[in-house]
Amino acid sequence: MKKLLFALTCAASLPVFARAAAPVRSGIVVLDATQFLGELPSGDTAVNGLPFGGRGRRGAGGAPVPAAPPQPPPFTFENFSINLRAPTPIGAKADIPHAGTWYLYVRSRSTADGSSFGVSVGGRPSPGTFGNVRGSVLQSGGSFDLPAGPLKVTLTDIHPGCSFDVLLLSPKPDLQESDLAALQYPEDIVLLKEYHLPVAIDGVKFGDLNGDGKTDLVVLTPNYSTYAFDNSGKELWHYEAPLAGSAQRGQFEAPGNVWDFDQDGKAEVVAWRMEDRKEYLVMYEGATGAIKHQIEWPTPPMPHVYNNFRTAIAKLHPGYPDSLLVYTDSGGTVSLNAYGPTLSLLWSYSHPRLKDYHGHYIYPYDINGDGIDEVYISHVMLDAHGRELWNNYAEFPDNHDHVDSARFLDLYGDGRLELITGQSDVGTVIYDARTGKLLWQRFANHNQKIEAGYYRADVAGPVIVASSRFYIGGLGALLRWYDPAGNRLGIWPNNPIPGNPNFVKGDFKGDGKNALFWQRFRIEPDGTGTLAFPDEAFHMFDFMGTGNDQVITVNRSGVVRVYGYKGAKSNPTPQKSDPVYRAHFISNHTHY
Amino acid sequence: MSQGKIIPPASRLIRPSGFVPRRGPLVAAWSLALAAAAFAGPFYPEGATTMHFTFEGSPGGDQPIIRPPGFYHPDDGFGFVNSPDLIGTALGVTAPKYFRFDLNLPPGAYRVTVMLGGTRDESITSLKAEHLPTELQDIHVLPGQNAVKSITVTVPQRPAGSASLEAAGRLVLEFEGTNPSLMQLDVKPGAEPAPK
Repeated sequence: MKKLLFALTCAASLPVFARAAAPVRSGIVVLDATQFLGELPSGDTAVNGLPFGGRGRRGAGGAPVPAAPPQPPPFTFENFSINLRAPTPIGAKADIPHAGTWYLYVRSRSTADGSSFGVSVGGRPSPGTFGNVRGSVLQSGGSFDLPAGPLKVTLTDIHPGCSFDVLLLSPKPDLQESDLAALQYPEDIVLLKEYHLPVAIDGVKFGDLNGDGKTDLVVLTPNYSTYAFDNSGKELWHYEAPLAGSAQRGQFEAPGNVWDFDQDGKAEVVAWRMEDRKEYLVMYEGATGAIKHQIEWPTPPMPHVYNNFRTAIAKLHPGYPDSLLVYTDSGGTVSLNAYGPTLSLLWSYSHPRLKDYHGHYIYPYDINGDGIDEVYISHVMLDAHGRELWNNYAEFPDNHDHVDSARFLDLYGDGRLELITGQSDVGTVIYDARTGKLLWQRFANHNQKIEAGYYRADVAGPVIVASSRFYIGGLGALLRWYDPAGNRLGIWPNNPIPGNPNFVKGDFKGDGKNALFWQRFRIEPDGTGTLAFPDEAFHMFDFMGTGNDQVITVNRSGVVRVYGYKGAKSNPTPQKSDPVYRAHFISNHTHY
Repeated sequence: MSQGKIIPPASRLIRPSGFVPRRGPLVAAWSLALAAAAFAGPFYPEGATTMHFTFEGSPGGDQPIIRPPGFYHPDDGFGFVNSPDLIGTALGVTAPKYFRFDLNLPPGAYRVTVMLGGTRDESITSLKAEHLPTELQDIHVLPGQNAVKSITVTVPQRPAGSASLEAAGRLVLEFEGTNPSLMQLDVKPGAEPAPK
C-alpha cells in the first residue's frame, strides 16, 4: 500500500511537459537543429556527429553501419543537422531576452532539386526562402520586432530534400558565417583537458597508476592491446596484442579494470593478454607494466568468440573491496569467476548458455545492506560466495531477452532497492532487487541503456529514463521517461536520431546533485537535451581531483577530453572517496 | 539474428500503395489509431495502413518487437493480458495452454493475419477473436515450420457508457491449445465485415 500511495502521489503531481527554450549565447538566440527534435516528424532524419569520428561500433550486434554522407559539408553547426524529408512543419521554442529588432539567420542547404522551406517567427513569416541552395549557406531571413518572452520558430511550407543545422535570432544585423563556431555548445561547459593519444581507442580505464595523486589513463584498443599513459599523456608502458584473432576480438568490448588491489597507493591494471596462443588474465603493476599475477583466462582454447569478456571490482568480504569478477561468454559455457587480489580463484558460477544470455556486464552491489556486495548478471543474483539468491531463468528462457544494462535505486522510498533494467526488446523492467519479483514492465523498443535518479525538475521523486534503440539503417535511439510506477512521462526526441548512446551521470556542478548526459547531450531538467560535446560522453567522475565530477568524452581516433562545469564548486563528499563507491562507479565501467 | 526463419519478416508496415479505402470514416478513424500508436512508440511511418507486430527474439530491423511479459498498457495501445505463463522463444511467443493479445482499434472490420510457430515442440493453436471462436481451430505447426493464416474480425461499437475494458475499442485475440504460438501479427482495416 505504501508503494501504491507513493506512486499515486507521483502520478497525480505530474506537471505538464514543457520544452525548454533555445539557449542564448553571446546575446544571440541559438536554435541549433537539436532544438527541433521535440517535434521531429516521422520521415525526417538527422546527421549526428563527425563521419567516423565518434563511438557507436560496440553493441551494433551486426546491424549495418550507417553510411557516411557522400560529401559532408566542411562545417556543420555542432555536427548535427536535420534532413527535411517530410512536409510536416517542425518548430522550436525561443525565449527572446529583450524587446527590440531581431535579425533571423538560417543555415541550410539543398540536397534535391526543388527543395525549400520557409520560417515563421512568432507566427510571422520570414520573407526569405531557405534550403534551396546547394552547399551550406548562412542566409539572412529579415528582421522582426519582437517583444521579450517566449515565442515559437517554425519551419513551414517544406518542400522535402533540404537540410538545416542552425537558425539564429541576433540583435545585430551583421552576423557572419565566421561567427558561428564560437556559438557552438553551452557556455557553461568548459574544456579542462585534452589528450591526443597515438592509439585507436576501444575503451579507457582510469586510476592513479604512479601514485602522484592524479588520474592516469589506460587505453584498451579494439585489438585488446593495453596502453598506459600518465596524467600528462606520456606513455608509461604498453602491451601489444598479436594480430592473430584481432578480427574476432575487435567485434566486442575489451575487458579490463584499473584498481589498487594491494592498497599501496598505486593502481594495478587488469587486462587480457596472449602468450604462446594462450589467453591470460593478467594483473600488471600500473606504473611499469610488470606482471604481478597471471592466470589463464577462464575460457576454452581458441578459436572462440568474445561475446562478453568483462571484469569488475567487488567487495565480497568485509573491509576493502579487492575482489575481481570476470565474466566470460565465449560461446558455449558461460562463466562468472571471482578472484582475490592476487588472482586466486574464490568461486566460479558457470553453465551452458547462448550468446548474451547473461547480458553484457557485471553489477556488484550491496542489495541487502550488510556491507557486502551481491553480484548481478542478467537473469541471476548471486551472493558474495557465488550462490544463487534468485533467478528468472524460467520466465526468460531465451537469450535474446537479456538485460543490457542495470541500475540499483530505492524508487519507492521504503529502504529497499529496486533493480532497474534495460532488458532488450522486453523493454524497461523493474524488479525487487532482493527477490527478483518483477514489479512492472513497459514496452521501450530495444531498451539498451537505462538510468534512474532525480533528473527532472517537473517530477517529484526519482525517474527512470530508458535509451531505446532503433534500427534505422544504422543504430538510432531516443529517450523514454517513466515515473516510479511505470507511467510514461514523455519521450525525446520525437523520433529516433542516429547513435548508440551511453548515459553518464555525476555531480557536475558540485552541488551534490547528479547531472545526466546522454550521447553528446546534456539532459535538461525537462527531459530534453542540449548538445554539449563534439564527441560522445564516455565516463563521468572527479578526473581533475577538484571535488566535483567532470565528463570524459572519447573519440575512437585517440582523442580524450575532460569537460567541467564553468562555475563548479568543490564538493569532496566522503562518498566520493569511499573505495566501494570508487570501485562501483569509477573503476567498473562499460560502454557496451 | 534468429535462425531457421522460413518466411522473411514482413515489412514492418505495409505502405498505402494499392490500398483502396472502402469507408471514409473508418479510414479516418484508422489514421487516428495509427497516430495514437505512433505516439506510443512503434513509430509507424506516416500513411501507414497496416499495423504490424513481430514477436521474434532477434532484433534486426523488423519492428516493433513485443516480448513477454509485454503487458498491455492503454497508452501503448497493445500488449498481453492475463497471460502469466507466456514465454519468449527465439522466433516468437508461446504458453502451455493460453495467452491473449489486445490491441486498441476503432470499431470496424479488420483483416487479421497471424504467423504461428516458432516453438520447440509442436504447436497447436486455436484463435478466438472478441471472445468468440474463429475459423482458425487446431492449427498444427511442427518445430521449424510456421503457418500464416488470416481471418476477418469486427471490433464492435461498444454501448455508450460501457464500463468494459474494451469500451474504447479494443481487439481481443486469444490463443488457446497446446503450445499455442505467435510469431507475427498484421492488422489491416477495411475488410468486409465478418459474417454473423
